[in-house]
Amino acid sequence: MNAITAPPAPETSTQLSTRLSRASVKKLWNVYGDIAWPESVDIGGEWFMTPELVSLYGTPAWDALDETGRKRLSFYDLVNFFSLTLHGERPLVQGLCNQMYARQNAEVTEYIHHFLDEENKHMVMFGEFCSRYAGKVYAQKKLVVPKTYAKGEEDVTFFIKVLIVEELGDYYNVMMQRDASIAPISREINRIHHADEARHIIFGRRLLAELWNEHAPKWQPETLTGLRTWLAGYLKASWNDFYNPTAYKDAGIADAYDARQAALAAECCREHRRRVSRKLVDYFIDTGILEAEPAL
Amino acid sequence: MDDRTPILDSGILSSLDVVELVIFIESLRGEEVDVDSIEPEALLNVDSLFETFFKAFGR
Ligand SMILES: [Fe+2]
Ligand SMILES: [Fe+2]
Repeated sequence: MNAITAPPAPETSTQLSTRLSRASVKKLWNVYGDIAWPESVDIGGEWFMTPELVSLYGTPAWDALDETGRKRLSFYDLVNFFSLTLHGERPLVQGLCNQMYARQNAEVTEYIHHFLDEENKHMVMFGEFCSRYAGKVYAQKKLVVPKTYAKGEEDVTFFIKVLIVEELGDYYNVMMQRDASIAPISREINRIHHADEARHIIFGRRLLAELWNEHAPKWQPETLTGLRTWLAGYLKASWNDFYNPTAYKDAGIADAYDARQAALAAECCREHRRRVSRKLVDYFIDTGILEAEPAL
Repeated sequence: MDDRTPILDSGILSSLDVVELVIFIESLRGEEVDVDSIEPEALLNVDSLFETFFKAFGR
């Protein structure tokens, strides 16, 4: 009879941080020197996103566009994708500063320094693309309303937000870094972002699970219910940001608001959101953070 | 509920719904709303929303 051996204990956030810091040093890159920015891009002449990832794909508004119109939309949708990622990284950087030294140990703190460095470079990169070729970064419409938290709830909420922006974005990055038919500069930015995000996501998943196991068992049922309701709403709201009527207007779509509402309601788009969210939702369910798949 | 019912405090809208409200207002106005310049009081009720977003536009 074989001896029964316990499964290997999962790597702690401390051990993981040491490994990830080493990888970050090895893969250190320079946002000011490593990217060859083309003098101009051909809006309407080339694809900037994989067509299936364009937010209106499969809806009547998409069907009504000719090839040039679709390519044009893929440009403004990419500017929106980069803009919303950038706006997601702003509070992320702010929150990471609160995590280092005070709450986390030396190994985790060291990795957070890399995390911060990388996120700052991402914002430079996304901001440069949007300003250079579109002349602007799309504004975000989120409003922060102050809230009171149970012990540990604020940290848990923070890492949930981090994971949502990073995991949804990473699905797009991975698809587009592989797509040889899109503009090389888009492909390159997606590739660079994914290279760093792969580490951030592993780290975020580990740390969030630890925080959850530490704090959630001590919360009142109302806190748990409140957090789960908020999470479902936040995920839905994060998805809504992918459908930006200002970008549609810039792409020349007349009924931009209606096009957005139609895409939010379309079954094909809902299927897309579910597919992209799958890994993330599975993680939330496996860890016990969510009990069931939220409506998207 | 009337035009002076507080929409955030009464739970009619959450802070996440505000984004949808702002985008809807933009579609009615035909131009973007600068969210950073909105005072929290603007979102108090229907009266204050009208006052803030539509009065100056003659609607
Ligand atoms: Fe990033
Ligand atoms: Fe990241």
